[in-house]
Amino acid sequence: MRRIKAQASIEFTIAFVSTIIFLILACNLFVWFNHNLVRRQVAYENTRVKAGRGRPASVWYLPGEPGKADFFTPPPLDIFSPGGRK
Amino acid sequence: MNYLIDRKSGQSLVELAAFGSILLLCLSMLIQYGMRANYQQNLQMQAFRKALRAAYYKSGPAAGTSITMVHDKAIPDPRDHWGIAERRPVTASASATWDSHIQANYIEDFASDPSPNDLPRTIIEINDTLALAEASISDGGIDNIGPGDGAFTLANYITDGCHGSITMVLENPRRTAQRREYRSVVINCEHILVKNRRTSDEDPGIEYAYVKIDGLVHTVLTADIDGDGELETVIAVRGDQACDSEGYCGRLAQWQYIDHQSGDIDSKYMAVSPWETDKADASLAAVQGLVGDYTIEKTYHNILVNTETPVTSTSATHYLDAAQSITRIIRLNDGSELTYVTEFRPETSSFEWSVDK
Repeated sequence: MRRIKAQASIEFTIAFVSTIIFLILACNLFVWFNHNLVRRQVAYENTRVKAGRGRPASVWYLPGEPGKADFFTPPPLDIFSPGGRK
Repeated sequence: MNYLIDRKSGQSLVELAAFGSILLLCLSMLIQYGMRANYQQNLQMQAFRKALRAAYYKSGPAAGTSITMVHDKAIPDPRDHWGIAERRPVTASASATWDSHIQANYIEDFASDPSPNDLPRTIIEINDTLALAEASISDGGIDNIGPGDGAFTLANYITDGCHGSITMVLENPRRTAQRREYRSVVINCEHILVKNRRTSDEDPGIEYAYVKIDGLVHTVLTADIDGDGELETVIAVRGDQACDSEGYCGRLAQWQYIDHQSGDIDSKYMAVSPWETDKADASLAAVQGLVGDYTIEKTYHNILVNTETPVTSTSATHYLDAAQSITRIIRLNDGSELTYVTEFRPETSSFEWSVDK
């Protein structure tokens, strides 16, 4: 059998790079999830005084209702930017 | 064959393929964990704001609102079949009490009947639908929760006289306190007296009931009035005679109390843990409110249609029709059950492949 020189190194390089990119992707995705938890909590804390004033129903939602877009919208996911696109 | 085995080329890529599946599994677990955490946080925030909103309408002596929310979210899991994310429950609950009515106490006037809307209540929301109201609140939001809409009461106001004897729980005085700080005493109704705490002639005051035991005066705040083994909360009393100049109003004639066991749901049984054996019916059958067990029925239809035209082309179309139906039960105090079914049928799709020959 003809010996193929450095074949393993080349394949290792390809596989290693792929694996690293995959790990970065996975980490950044989870960092994005994590940042959204923090950002949503900030939006919640910023509106808790308004929510506790007991105003009439017509203006109750001034601070926005959790779960709706005007309360918190997560930034677009950018897999190469930790925490999403700025 | 040996030729294939002996070949070393492609080994790293084969290993990547083998371990890549494990990495993909890890990635899917991360996605699952992240989505669940986000849904959970979101729902918890919604639950508290909704409880706050519902409590805003209440002003009674036992004001307090609790809310339980269950949302079945499509959260992907590598174990799911056909690539369809199974609906998984995300639950949150919160309770809120508006203004200073933290604890039931004597109200000012016996004649001013408390409103049933001011009783403690619980709201159960299943997938954006209020359990009792059957109205979607996904658009109208919390505003749809009115003073009594979509809410189960956890108690009832009852006006009655005192019959025979009642059981009270008293705190031991410090000098006699031993291992148990509280003791229960049985008191004959004839020994319960009514007095008016009046500070001036203009002040109508508040009539309250008391008993004198071993020289100590005990205000009757809670007592087992109806003999069901649970304490009721007294909110107003009336004596059997007009109050004299010293505020003495005679023996107890009538009282008004909150019975926490006579509402739609008995809050005592809402969360019975297995170790709470002191609760007589500490079994799943006695749990009231939203029962933790639920039934999910999954129906998947996969149809593959293959169309082949000889010589020219061949095409295949894959139709997928998936439905998930989730049934939940709310158990009430009278033994009846309310059943709520939510059906999800968003997973309808088709894919087509065609190849020209």
